[in-house]
Amino acid sequence: MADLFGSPIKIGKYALDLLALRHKLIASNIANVETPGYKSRDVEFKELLNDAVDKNHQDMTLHTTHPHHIRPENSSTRPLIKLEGNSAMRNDFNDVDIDKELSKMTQTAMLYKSIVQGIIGKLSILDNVVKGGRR
Amino acid sequence: MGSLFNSIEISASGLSAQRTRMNVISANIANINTTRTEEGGPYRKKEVVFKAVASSKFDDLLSKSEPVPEKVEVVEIKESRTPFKLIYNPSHPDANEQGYVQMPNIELIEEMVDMLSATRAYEANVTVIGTAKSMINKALEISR
Repeated sequence: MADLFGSPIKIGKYALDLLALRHKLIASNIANVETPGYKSRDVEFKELLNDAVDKNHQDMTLHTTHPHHIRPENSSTRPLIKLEGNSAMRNDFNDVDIDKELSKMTQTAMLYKSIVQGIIGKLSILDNVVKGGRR
Repeated sequence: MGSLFNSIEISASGLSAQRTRMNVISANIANINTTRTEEGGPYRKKEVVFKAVASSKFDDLLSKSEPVPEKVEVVEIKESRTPFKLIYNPSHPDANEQGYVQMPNIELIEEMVDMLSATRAYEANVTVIGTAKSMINKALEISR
Protein backbone atom coordinates (compact mmCIF):
# COMPACT_ATOMS: atom_id res chain seq x y z
CA MET A 1 0.00 0.00 0.00
CA ALA A 2 3.06 2.22 0.17
CA ASP A 3 2.46 3.04 -3.46
CA LEU A 4 -1.18 4.03 -3.19
CA PHE A 5 -1.03 7.07 -5.44
CA GLY A 6 2.34 6.03 -6.74
CA SER A 7 4.05 5.44 -10.00
CA PRO A 8 1.24 4.64 -12.47
CA ILE A 9 -0.48 7.95 -11.83
CA LYS A 10 2.82 9.82 -11.68
CA ILE A 11 4.01 8.35 -14.97
CA GLY A 12 0.58 8.98 -16.45
CA LYS A 13 0.71 12.62 -15.42
CA TYR A 14 4.16 12.97 -16.92
CA ALA A 15 3.01 11.38 -20.16
CA LEU A 16 -0.02 13.68 -20.30
CA ASP A 17 2.21 16.73 -19.84
CA LEU A 18 4.47 15.54 -22.63
CA LEU A 19 1.55 14.82 -24.94
CA ALA A 20 0.06 18.23 -24.24
CA LEU A 21 3.40 19.82 -25.09
CA ARG A 22 3.56 17.77 -28.26
CA HIS A 23 0.10 18.95 -29.21
CA LYS A 24 1.21 22.52 -28.65
CA LEU A 25 4.17 22.02 -30.98
CA ILE A 26 1.90 20.51 -33.62
CA ALA A 27 -0.41 23.52 -33.26
CA SER A 28 2.61 25.75 -33.75
CA ASN A 29 3.69 23.81 -36.85
CA ILE A 30 0.24 23.97 -38.40
CA ALA A 31 -0.23 27.66 -37.58
CA ASN A 32 3.05 28.35 -39.37
CA VAL A 33 2.35 26.22 -42.43
CA GLU A 34 2.71 29.30 -44.67
CA THR A 35 5.48 31.13 -42.78
CA PRO A 36 8.64 31.40 -44.89
CA GLY A 37 11.68 29.80 -43.29
CA TYR A 38 9.78 28.11 -40.46
CA LYS A 39 11.17 24.72 -39.38
CA SER A 40 8.81 22.19 -37.85
CA ARG A 41 9.56 20.96 -34.35
CA ASP A 42 8.70 18.02 -32.18
CA VAL A 43 9.43 16.70 -28.71
CA GLU A 44 11.72 13.74 -27.99
CA PHE A 45 8.83 11.72 -26.76
CA LYS A 46 9.59 8.04 -26.33
CA GLU A 47 13.09 8.51 -25.00
CA LEU A 48 11.87 10.89 -22.34
CA LEU A 49 9.04 8.72 -21.18
CA ASN A 50 11.35 5.73 -20.90
CA ASP A 51 13.66 7.87 -18.79
CA ALA A 52 10.78 8.82 -16.54
CA VAL A 53 9.74 5.20 -16.10
CA ASP A 54 13.32 4.22 -15.29
CA LYS A 55 13.60 7.02 -12.80
CA ASN A 56 10.52 5.88 -11.05
CA HIS A 57 12.00 2.46 -10.45
CA GLN A 58 15.38 3.54 -9.23
CA ASP A 59 16.23 6.66 -7.38
CA MET A 60 18.52 8.61 -9.65
CA THR A 61 18.69 11.88 -7.76
CA LEU A 62 22.00 13.70 -7.69
CA HIS A 63 23.91 13.22 -4.45
CA THR A 64 25.00 16.31 -2.57
CA THR A 65 27.64 16.56 0.11
CA HIS A 66 26.18 19.55 1.95
CA PRO A 67 22.56 20.28 2.95
CA HIS A 68 22.76 23.74 1.36
CA HIS A 69 23.74 22.44 -2.03
CA ILE A 70 21.13 22.96 -4.67
CA ARG A 71 19.44 19.79 -5.85
CA PRO A 72 18.56 19.93 -9.49
CA GLU A 73 15.09 18.46 -9.36
CA ASN A 74 13.95 16.51 -12.36
CA SER A 75 16.26 18.52 -14.55
CA SER A 76 17.11 15.53 -16.69
CA THR A 77 13.51 14.77 -17.57
CA ARG A 78 12.76 18.24 -18.87
CA PRO A 79 11.26 17.75 -22.32
CA LEU A 80 13.61 18.32 -25.20
CA ILE A 81 12.24 20.18 -28.15
CA LYS A 82 14.03 19.53 -31.39
CA LEU A 83 13.67 20.51 -34.99
CA GLU A 84 12.19 17.74 -37.03
CA GLY A 85 14.62 18.18 -39.88
CA ASN A 86 12.31 17.27 -42.75
CA SER A 87 13.83 17.99 -46.10
CA ALA A 88 12.23 21.19 -47.31
CA MET A 89 10.80 20.87 -50.78
CA ARG A 90 9.43 24.38 -51.02
CA ASN A 91 10.94 27.60 -52.26
CA ASP A 92 10.39 29.42 -48.97
CA PHE A 93 12.44 26.88 -46.92
CA ASN A 94 9.42 26.00 -44.81
CA ASP A 95 9.54 22.28 -44.03
CA VAL A 96 6.11 21.71 -42.41
CA ASP A 97 4.47 18.55 -43.75
CA ILE A 98 0.77 19.12 -43.10
CA ASP A 99 -0.29 15.47 -43.55
CA LYS A 100 2.37 14.28 -41.15
CA GLU A 101 1.37 16.91 -38.61
CA LEU A 102 -2.31 16.04 -38.77
CA SER A 103 -1.69 12.32 -38.38
CA LYS A 104 0.70 13.02 -35.52
CA MET A 105 -1.99 15.13 -33.91
CA THR A 106 -4.57 12.35 -34.16
CA GLN A 107 -2.08 9.91 -32.62
CA THR A 108 -1.30 12.33 -29.83
CA ALA A 109 -4.96 12.89 -29.04
CA MET A 110 -5.75 9.15 -29.01
CA LEU A 111 -2.80 8.41 -26.75
CA TYR A 112 -3.75 11.28 -24.46
CA LYS A 113 -7.30 10.05 -24.13
CA SER A 114 -6.28 6.46 -23.50
CA ILE A 115 -3.84 7.53 -20.76
CA VAL A 116 -6.59 9.63 -19.17
CA GLN A 117 -8.81 6.57 -19.32
CA GLY A 118 -6.07 4.56 -17.60
CA ILE A 119 -5.81 7.11 -14.82
CA ILE A 120 -9.59 7.08 -14.41
CA GLY A 121 -9.45 3.29 -14.09
CA LYS A 122 -6.69 3.42 -11.51
CA LEU A 123 -8.59 6.05 -9.53
CA SER A 124 -11.80 4.03 -9.58
CA ILE A 125 -9.90 1.07 -8.14
CA LEU A 126 -8.62 3.33 -5.38
CA ASP A 127 -12.15 4.63 -4.88
CA ASN A 128 -13.34 1.07 -4.42
CA VAL A 129 -10.58 0.39 -1.90
CA VAL A 130 -11.35 3.55 0.08
CA LYS A 131 -15.01 2.63 0.31
CA GLY A 132 -14.12 -0.91 1.38
CA GLY A 133 -15.93 -2.46 -1.53
CA ARG A 134 -19.27 -0.99 -0.48
CA ARG A 135 -21.17 1.26 -2.77
CA MET B 1 -3.60 20.96 -19.44
CA GLY B 2 -2.32 24.52 -19.46
CA SER B 3 -0.25 23.53 -22.43
CA LEU B 4 -3.41 22.54 -24.26
CA PHE B 5 -4.98 25.95 -23.72
CA ASN B 6 -1.78 27.36 -25.09
CA SER B 7 -2.10 25.27 -28.23
CA ILE B 8 -5.61 26.65 -28.75
CA GLU B 9 -4.08 30.11 -28.54
CA ILE B 10 -1.44 29.21 -31.13
CA SER B 11 -4.06 27.83 -33.52
CA ALA B 12 -6.14 30.95 -32.99
CA SER B 13 -3.19 33.02 -34.17
CA GLY B 14 -3.13 30.82 -37.27
CA LEU B 15 -6.85 31.38 -37.82
CA SER B 16 -6.58 35.15 -37.64
CA ALA B 17 -3.49 35.18 -39.87
CA GLN B 18 -5.27 33.13 -42.54
CA ARG B 19 -8.36 35.30 -42.23
CA THR B 20 -6.27 38.43 -42.80
CA ARG B 21 -4.76 36.74 -45.84
CA MET B 22 -8.26 35.94 -47.09
CA ASN B 23 -9.29 39.59 -46.63
CA VAL B 24 -6.30 40.73 -48.65
CA ILE B 25 -7.10 38.21 -51.40
CA SER B 26 -10.70 39.41 -51.63
CA ALA B 27 -9.49 43.01 -51.79
CA ASN B 28 -7.20 42.00 -54.68
CA ILE B 29 -9.97 40.21 -56.54
CA ALA B 30 -12.43 43.06 -55.95
CA ASN B 31 -9.93 45.53 -57.41
CA ILE B 32 -8.89 43.47 -60.39
CA ASN B 33 -10.05 46.21 -62.81
CA THR B 34 -9.36 49.29 -60.67
CA THR B 35 -7.37 51.85 -62.64
CA ARG B 36 -7.53 54.78 -60.22
CA THR B 37 -6.28 54.84 -56.61
CA GLU B 38 -5.56 57.59 -54.10
CA GLU B 39 -1.81 57.26 -54.69
CA GLY B 40 -2.46 57.60 -58.41
CA GLY B 41 -2.13 54.88 -61.02
CA PRO B 42 -3.86 51.53 -61.01
CA TYR B 43 -4.34 49.29 -57.95
CA ARG B 44 -1.30 47.29 -56.86
CA LYS B 45 -1.64 43.69 -55.73
CA LYS B 46 -1.24 43.36 -51.95
CA GLU B 47 0.49 40.46 -50.21
CA VAL B 48 0.61 39.44 -46.55
CA VAL B 49 3.92 38.67 -44.84
CA PHE B 50 3.77 35.98 -42.13
CA LYS B 51 6.24 35.80 -39.28
CA ALA B 52 6.68 33.19 -36.54
CA VAL B 53 6.85 34.70 -33.03
CA ALA B 54 7.51 32.86 -29.75
CA SER B 55 4.18 31.99 -28.17
CA SER B 56 4.97 33.46 -24.75
CA LYS B 57 7.78 35.10 -22.82
CA PHE B 58 7.67 32.23 -20.33
CA ASP B 59 8.54 29.68 -22.96
CA ASP B 60 11.48 31.84 -23.96
CA LEU B 61 12.88 31.85 -20.47
CA LEU B 62 12.30 28.15 -20.01
CA SER B 63 14.27 27.08 -23.01
CA LYS B 64 16.72 29.62 -24.36
CA SER B 65 18.69 27.35 -26.61
CA GLU B 66 15.92 25.05 -27.79
CA PRO B 67 13.34 25.86 -30.43
CA VAL B 68 10.02 26.90 -28.87
CA PRO B 69 6.47 26.63 -30.16
CA GLU B 70 5.62 29.70 -32.13
CA LYS B 71 2.51 31.64 -33.05
CA VAL B 72 2.10 33.15 -36.47
CA GLU B 73 1.58 36.85 -37.04
CA VAL B 74 0.90 39.05 -40.04
CA VAL B 75 3.73 41.57 -39.73
CA GLU B 76 3.15 43.48 -42.91
CA ILE B 77 0.88 43.83 -45.90
CA LYS B 78 3.16 44.59 -48.80
CA GLU B 79 2.43 45.86 -52.29
CA SER B 80 3.65 43.59 -55.05
CA ARG B 81 6.27 45.27 -57.26
CA THR B 82 5.52 43.27 -60.39
CA PRO B 83 4.86 45.53 -63.42
CA PHE B 84 1.33 46.58 -64.37
CA LYS B 85 -0.37 44.87 -67.26
CA LEU B 86 -0.82 46.94 -70.42
CA ILE B 87 -4.11 46.37 -72.19
CA TYR B 88 -5.01 47.93 -75.56
CA ASN B 89 -8.34 49.65 -75.08
CA PRO B 90 -8.44 53.13 -76.70
CA SER B 91 -12.00 53.82 -75.56
CA HIS B 92 -11.03 53.56 -71.89
CA PRO B 93 -10.95 57.01 -70.14
CA ASP B 94 -7.54 56.19 -68.60
CA ALA B 95 -5.92 55.10 -71.87
CA ASN B 96 -2.68 56.84 -72.90
CA GLU B 97 -1.99 58.41 -76.33
CA GLN B 98 -1.16 55.02 -77.85
CA GLY B 99 -4.47 53.62 -76.57
CA TYR B 100 -2.99 51.41 -73.83
CA VAL B 101 -4.45 51.21 -70.32
CA GLN B 102 -2.36 50.23 -67.29
CA MET B 103 -4.26 47.53 -65.40
CA PRO B 104 -3.54 46.17 -61.89
CA ASN B 105 -0.80 43.52 -61.59
CA ILE B 106 -3.25 40.89 -60.36
CA GLU B 107 -3.53 37.39 -61.80
CA LEU B 108 -6.95 35.96 -61.04
CA ILE B 109 -5.69 32.37 -61.10
CA GLU B 110 -2.94 33.18 -58.61
CA GLU B 111 -5.48 34.71 -56.27
CA MET B 112 -7.74 31.68 -56.57
CA VAL B 113 -4.89 29.32 -55.71
CA ASP B 114 -3.91 31.50 -52.74
CA MET B 115 -7.52 31.55 -51.61
CA LEU B 116 -7.71 27.77 -51.70
CA SER B 117 -4.52 27.38 -49.72
CA ALA B 118 -5.73 29.94 -47.15
CA THR B 119 -8.99 28.00 -46.75
CA ARG B 120 -7.15 24.72 -46.25
CA ALA B 121 -4.73 26.22 -43.72
CA TYR B 122 -7.68 27.74 -41.86
CA GLU B 123 -9.42 24.36 -41.74
CA ALA B 124 -6.28 22.65 -40.46
CA ASN B 125 -6.10 25.13 -37.59
CA VAL B 126 -9.77 24.56 -36.78
CA THR B 127 -9.08 20.81 -36.62
CA VAL B 128 -6.24 21.36 -34.17
CA ILE B 129 -8.51 23.43 -31.92
CA GLY B 130 -11.14 20.68 -32.09
CA THR B 131 -8.63 18.05 -30.96
CA ALA B 132 -7.34 20.22 -28.13
CA LYS B 133 -10.93 20.69 -27.01
CA SER B 134 -11.64 16.96 -26.99
CA MET B 135 -8.40 16.29 -25.09
CA ILE B 136 -9.31 18.88 -22.45
CA ASN B 137 -12.81 17.42 -22.11
CA LYS B 138 -11.35 13.96 -21.66
CA ALA B 139 -8.93 15.22 -19.01
CA LEU B 140 -11.86 16.78 -17.14
CA GLU B 141 -13.41 13.32 -16.82
CA ILE B 142 -10.70 12.44 -14.28
CA SER B 143 -12.44 14.59 -11.71
CA ARG B 144 -15.78 12.93 -12.18
